[in-house]
Amino acid sequence: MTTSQPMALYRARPRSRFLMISLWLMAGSTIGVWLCTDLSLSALWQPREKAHLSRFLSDMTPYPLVEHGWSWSALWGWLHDTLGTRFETAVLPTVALSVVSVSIAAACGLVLSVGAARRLPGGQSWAVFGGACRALLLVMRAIPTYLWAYLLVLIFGLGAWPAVIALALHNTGTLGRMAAETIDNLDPGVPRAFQALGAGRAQTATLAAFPQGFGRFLLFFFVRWETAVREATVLGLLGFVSIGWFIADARARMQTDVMLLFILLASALIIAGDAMSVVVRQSLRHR
Amino acid sequence: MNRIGPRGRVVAGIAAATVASAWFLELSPHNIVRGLEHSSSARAFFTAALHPTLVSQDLPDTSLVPALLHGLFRTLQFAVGAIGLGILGGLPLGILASQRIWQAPGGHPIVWRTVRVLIALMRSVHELLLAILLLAIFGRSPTVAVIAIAIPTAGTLAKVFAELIDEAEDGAAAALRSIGATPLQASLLGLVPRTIPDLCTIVFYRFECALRAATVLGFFGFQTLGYLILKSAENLYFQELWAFLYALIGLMFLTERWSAKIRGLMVRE
Repeated sequence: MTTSQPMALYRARPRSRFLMISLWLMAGSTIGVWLCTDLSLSALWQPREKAHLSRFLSDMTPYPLVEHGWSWSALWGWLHDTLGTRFETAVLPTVALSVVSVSIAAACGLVLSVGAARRLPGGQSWAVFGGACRALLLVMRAIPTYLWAYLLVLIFGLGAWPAVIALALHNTGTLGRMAAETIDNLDPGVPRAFQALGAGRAQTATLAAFPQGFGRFLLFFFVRWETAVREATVLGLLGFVSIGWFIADARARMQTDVMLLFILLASALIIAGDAMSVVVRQSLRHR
Repeated sequence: MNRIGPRGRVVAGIAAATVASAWFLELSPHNIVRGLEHSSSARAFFTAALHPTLVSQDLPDTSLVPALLHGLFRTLQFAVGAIGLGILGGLPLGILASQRIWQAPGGHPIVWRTVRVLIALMRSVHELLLAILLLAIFGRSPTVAVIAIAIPTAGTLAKVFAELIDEAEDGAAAALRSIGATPLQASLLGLVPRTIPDLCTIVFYRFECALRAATVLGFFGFQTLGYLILKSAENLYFQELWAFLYALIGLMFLTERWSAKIRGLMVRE
């Protein structure tokens, strides 16, 4: 009797056909995409590709080392010449871009989250506006930053503002949605108390929801800032002044060694940003 | 100063950094206005938003639907392939990177420290930059795009998985240890299943990110939605462009709805 009870419970569990179909679809497509379509890992390991790889590895070696053989001073000299003047021009605009954009995105996202949250007081008049806010946030985050930037450059030309606005648009969508979800997941007691006192939606949001959710908002801010540094790096490929510009420049000149150096510089910057964000978050947690 | 609490200080710090950055970039409000005034294609671009077309503006008797379907297929193919590889690589790495598993008595701390460094490196390279590197080595093939997206995806999944294992509740693992399981067995069977709901959330989130990354890779020659958008934009065919943009927005909307519904059902089950 005792061994059949787990089986009986298992058979009686609530099942959802939608979930079953979805899970089979996911598993099937994940495997099918490798078996039935033109993806193949072995195709990458053919003789021609191996030749490319060895040529790439030799291209990667810094130019002075190829000419004069390996030496630390030659490597240091090359690093100094290549990075020397460009370090500030590459790194600082990237960081500045990310900071301004995410701050703007946080502010706009918070404003839109007042409309987009579902569990704040407000009657019919807010339902339509709320739906519009959610739709707007969706469109903003559906379009990747790089694509926003490309479109803005297309229409408005290069400059600091198109880059800032592109990053800010995508991140407003993300941060706005995260803020709305945070507000929806808050303990409903305090907002209800405000509502009982007669506060409107905006008042409840700013006076009750935002202070409660502040910790999470800050966490999301730093998480998105890390991502924004990453995206800002790559925006340079479109022509903006950031590390990506130097990568594109080196690529155009076929200087694989310099290109790789700037890619590593970008990685170092992102890792540094990651570390800094972890430090700030930990210090906030202990307050 | 003692009226500004710790929160106020953080916000003030962020505000100061923002102002400093804006000054550094020489951003000024009247630059925006000037940009708006000088742009002639802005008006064409925004009015075309109301008239998207799926008929080629170049050759008026060709439909764009086959191209759109192919672009959607490639975008989904890259994202699904990348998330598959990402899970395959990310989950084992996550277990290897878990401080809790490897810091336990009998474990080797060097394992989790090295793997965390590896994960940080994997996460630090942007998909586009990886794609540029891999294109130079392996040429333009769909697998190159999939690998370029998969590596940061695997890194992020590994990092989140490791953090989830570190923060999972100890109840089941303690029970297993008390009946004689080895620490590794107790961790794998006790901690890992606790992480599954949050892991699903992050996998769905990364799938959406992979879709966006696949779209952007279209700018580098891969035939995804981004490629279609690029080609229309280069010729200033704004109506086609908006049709593809709507398709992208629709794709992201459906994906978000689907994943939200699945997460809702899994929570209830």
